[in-house]
Amino acid sequence: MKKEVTINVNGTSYTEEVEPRLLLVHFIRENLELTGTHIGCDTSHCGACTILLNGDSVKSCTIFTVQADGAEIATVEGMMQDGKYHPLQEAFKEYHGLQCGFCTPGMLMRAIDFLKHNPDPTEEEIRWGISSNLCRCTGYNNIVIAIEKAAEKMREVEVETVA
Amino acid sequence: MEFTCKTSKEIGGMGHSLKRREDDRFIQGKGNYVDDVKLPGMLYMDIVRSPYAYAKIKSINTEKALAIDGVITVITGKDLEEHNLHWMPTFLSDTQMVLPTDTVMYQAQEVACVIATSRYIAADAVEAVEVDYEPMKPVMDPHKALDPDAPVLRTDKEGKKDNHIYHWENGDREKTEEVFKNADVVVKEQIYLPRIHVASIETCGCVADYQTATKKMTVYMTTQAPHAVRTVVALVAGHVGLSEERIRIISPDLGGGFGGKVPIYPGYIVAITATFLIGKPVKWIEDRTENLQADSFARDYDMTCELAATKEGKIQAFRIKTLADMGYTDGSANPSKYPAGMFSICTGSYDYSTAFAEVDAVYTNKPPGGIAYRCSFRVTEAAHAIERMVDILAQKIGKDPAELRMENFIKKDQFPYKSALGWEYDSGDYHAGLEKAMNMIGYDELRKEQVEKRAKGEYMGIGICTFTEIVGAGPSKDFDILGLKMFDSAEIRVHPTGKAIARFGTKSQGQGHETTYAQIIAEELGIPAEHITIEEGDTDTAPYGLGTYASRSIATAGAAAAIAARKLRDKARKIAAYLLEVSEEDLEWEPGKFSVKGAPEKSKTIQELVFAAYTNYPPGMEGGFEAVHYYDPPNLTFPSGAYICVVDIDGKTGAIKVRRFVAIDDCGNIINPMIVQGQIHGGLTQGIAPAMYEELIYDDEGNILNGSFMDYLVPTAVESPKWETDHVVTPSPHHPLGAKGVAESPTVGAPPAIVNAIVDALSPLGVTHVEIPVTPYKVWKILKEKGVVD
Amino acid sequence: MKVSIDKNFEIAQPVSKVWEYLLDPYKVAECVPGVKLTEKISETEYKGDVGLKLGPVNASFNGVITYAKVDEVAREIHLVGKGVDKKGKGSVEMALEMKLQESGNVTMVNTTMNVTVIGVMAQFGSRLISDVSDHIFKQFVENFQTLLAGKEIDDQDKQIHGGAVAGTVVKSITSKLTSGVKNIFSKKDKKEENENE
Repeated sequence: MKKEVTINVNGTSYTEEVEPRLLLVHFIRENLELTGTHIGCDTSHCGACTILLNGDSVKSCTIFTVQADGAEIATVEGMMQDGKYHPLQEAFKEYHGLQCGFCTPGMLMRAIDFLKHNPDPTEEEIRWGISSNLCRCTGYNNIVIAIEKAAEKMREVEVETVA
Repeated sequence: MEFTCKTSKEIGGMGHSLKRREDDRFIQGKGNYVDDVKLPGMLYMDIVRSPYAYAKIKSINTEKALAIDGVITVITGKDLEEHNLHWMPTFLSDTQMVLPTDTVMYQAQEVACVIATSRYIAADAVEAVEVDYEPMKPVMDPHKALDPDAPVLRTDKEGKKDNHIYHWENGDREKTEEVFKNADVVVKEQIYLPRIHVASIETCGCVADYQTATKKMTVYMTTQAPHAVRTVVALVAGHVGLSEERIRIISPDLGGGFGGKVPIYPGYIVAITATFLIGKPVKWIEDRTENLQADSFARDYDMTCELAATKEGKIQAFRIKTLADMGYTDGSANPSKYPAGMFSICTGSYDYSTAFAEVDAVYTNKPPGGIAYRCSFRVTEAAHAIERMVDILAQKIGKDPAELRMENFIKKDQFPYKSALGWEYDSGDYHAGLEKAMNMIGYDELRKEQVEKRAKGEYMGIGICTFTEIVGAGPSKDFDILGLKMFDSAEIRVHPTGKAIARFGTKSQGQGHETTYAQIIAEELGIPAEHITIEEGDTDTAPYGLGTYASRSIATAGAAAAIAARKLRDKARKIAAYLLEVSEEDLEWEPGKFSVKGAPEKSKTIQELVFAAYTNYPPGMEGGFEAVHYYDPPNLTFPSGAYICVVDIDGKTGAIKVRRFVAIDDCGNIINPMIVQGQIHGGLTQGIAPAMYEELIYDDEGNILNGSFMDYLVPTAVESPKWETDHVVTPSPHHPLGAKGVAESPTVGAPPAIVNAIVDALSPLGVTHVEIPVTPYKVWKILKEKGVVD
Repeated sequence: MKVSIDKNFEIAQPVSKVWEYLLDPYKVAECVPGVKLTEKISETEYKGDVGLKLGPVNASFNGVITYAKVDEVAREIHLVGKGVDKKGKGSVEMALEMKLQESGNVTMVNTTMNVTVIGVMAQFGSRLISDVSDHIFKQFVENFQTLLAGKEIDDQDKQIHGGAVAGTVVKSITSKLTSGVKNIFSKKDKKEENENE
């Protein structure tokens, strides 16, 4: 019954035999022991399990591992590059965009995808953009600010890189 | 507002907005939550739950489940009964089934537990367990629960002849009656605060690990009160050989708590029993649906409120009669002398001397609970009652609600103030708070705008709430849970090189204790906060304490940290006197060093003094540099707030838009302004949640109709307004740091402000009250009833 | 939870024929999607299997269908169906009251259906119960008309229609899955840009 899958996660390729019903979030958390991706509900509402699948943010509790065969996945553990925080990570810390930290990885993953499509968003757009993800601690104020500030920084870096 | 700091930025004591120490691991996905714990040979537990709210269990057939490859065992109530583990106490000394032997009392109650080698197999086996029920008509309405012909639900209690749990009252019934009889104006309203659920994004669960060789039970558990849990487990399971020294509760990173992780749920106990019987680690993680359907609820208070006043609007007396639906057992985690918690804070921020409050609690076929939802015990209910009633009074006599409040506030110079129901409010400046809120939001202009809008037939409302909280339980004289006094603790250990570790009896769930506690010690000892490691939640290493809830951490453990640090500073002074060869009185302290008065060049830094405590201390002195303190607060603390909310209501659809929300909080002296502000933001969103979105709904058949995130509406960033916050500060006179506690105030204060705004918007239609959650549909129905829409 | 549905419909058949069919439990069961009679207990009681899908919940019931009232003179019939989920996930009770009236060659059927659902289906499907009940009822009426017209009921119509919504969701997810590999952390989709060039 098991099926072989090859999935690239944060730049490393994994080949494993999995049950067809194994949820991607369980594959990530339990088979690969990348526990930064969390589970907060069973109805695809909370977004704690959000990852990037081929660059798009998806809720990994709603996808079977076999559906991700051949895909490229990014989780929160892959955000730091060369030992440096991603601007979003930095901004979440700087502007107090997290409290218990449970929704944070999902929020960060969602924010990456959101800013990719909308690099210069308004506050309202950010709020709608992260409405797929629930946070029970922060009241969202500082998450919104953190994303605004990170977007600013990411635009600057972009300008520098181009120059 | 600007905060003055006594310490430098490098030391990072009180008043500095230090970035949080805990964030680095969280933003890298390296937090360590219970479900992240993976032990060798670990088994998984899943739970068979009852579809009926009230039914006899005729039989449980586990044969098919046991036949599934990978299923180790199925545990039922009968199995637990053999070890006398099928019942356990609640924190409020009621009793609760671990697993039922013959009757289920609420829908989603645990019926049997499957242990298997994987999560998936356990879930398969849950499907394969066959339970034959004989359903009975459940008692769902708390009012009907008291009918003489209502079935008695708790037949397990010998001699129990009805569903009444307790009657609690406070105040002078006769005198209150008298004042009401003679009052110019009496307003009365029935106010119901429905069942809600904390729904922390991390659900509950544990990994229980019993080592047969060492006979040691380690439980990684989502608990806000690890020490109390250890004691309860020892009391419940002592007879099977689990004595307290062999039990270690570890509460790792918690993904939110809000009160929901205070109770001890049956799943924990079965997992502990299972590992004990099997000798392998057992993990149990509930899913969201189980969490919403079976874990402790909050609120469910049906309150009849009355306010008596003079015709000018001077409040004279308050009276409140409450029916509390507790579900099938009283699962509150209140101090034992306070079955209705701190409900007698219901007299509010106003100066009058007569009040009477009573609560009757009943059993129904709903899940147990009665815990808080980010508030000190029953304070939200109390604040909602008085703050709604003050507005209803204002409406009745035609006075501006801000003016009415200003005229009735307890004045700044009246503190400490003895309230009508016996509390001693420690400090406050309610006039300053409301004034600041009014200025910040532009109250007078808003009222002008409202007049213009009303003339155009538009619905705009301005709502005020000026609440007083009561937190920081509590003084040992009156406060205990299961007999355990509600002190809390701090232990500071400073290493020879001047770096420290401190441990506490509390447990952060996102409040940032690792940062703020370090700041308190930095403030008192002058050791930079970044050199202080904070640990909580491991009962083998941390000093005893009753945990984090009811905004008690800073009020109790925070105070303990300050006093333990001061003990160390005293020791440092003695060492300094010895090293500098002066008397202690000749020394002067500034954060980080002692110097000789008048000769500042002669000084010793705290790091030098700590080093000396290991290497060169005065003869006769104990070596080392450690202190512990168990802080017993002399009084509770009384944070307060002045909140103003502006709403716009669509006269066609009933849609409610919170246009602005200003929150002025007085939580005493502030340790980390950034964290305090974050706590207030979060609390405000958990205030708008029950005010406009959340409610657990049950039907007459006992079904929960919104037991998943599909239907239970936790606000997203879209529903949550942009919060505006500021402070007034009146330090608590009895707290060593002048702090009071925060984070729950906004959850207490936001709902009445929002409802008051909505009612204010609809008041031209003669509306005086709307029950929460105020949904667009509810408003639309009102608009329809009043003929505004067809 | 309880759902009450009142519906009136016309059948282009004489009342005597409609009445005759309604008295035959096997014919009635054939028209209710997901229902199969398995055993006759007595003249008025029958055992059957009921399969039901409600949103995320699949339930399979051991049911008993009873003719609670048969009044030939008034042309009134009361059917009660009670089902307990085979795995103990809950129960369903349905009381169906039908009254027939002849008008010309057409039979008017006035019905009231009360459905009480307890357990998992109510917990997860509360928002759907009303719609699904309505849907099943509609299918029943269509099937009943087909049967009365002497035609065979399509096998598909013996199942509960639904899942159209779920189908769309699955489709949108898989369409995302099939899109090409992208540079995951880049702010702009560089690969896509290259492809566009």
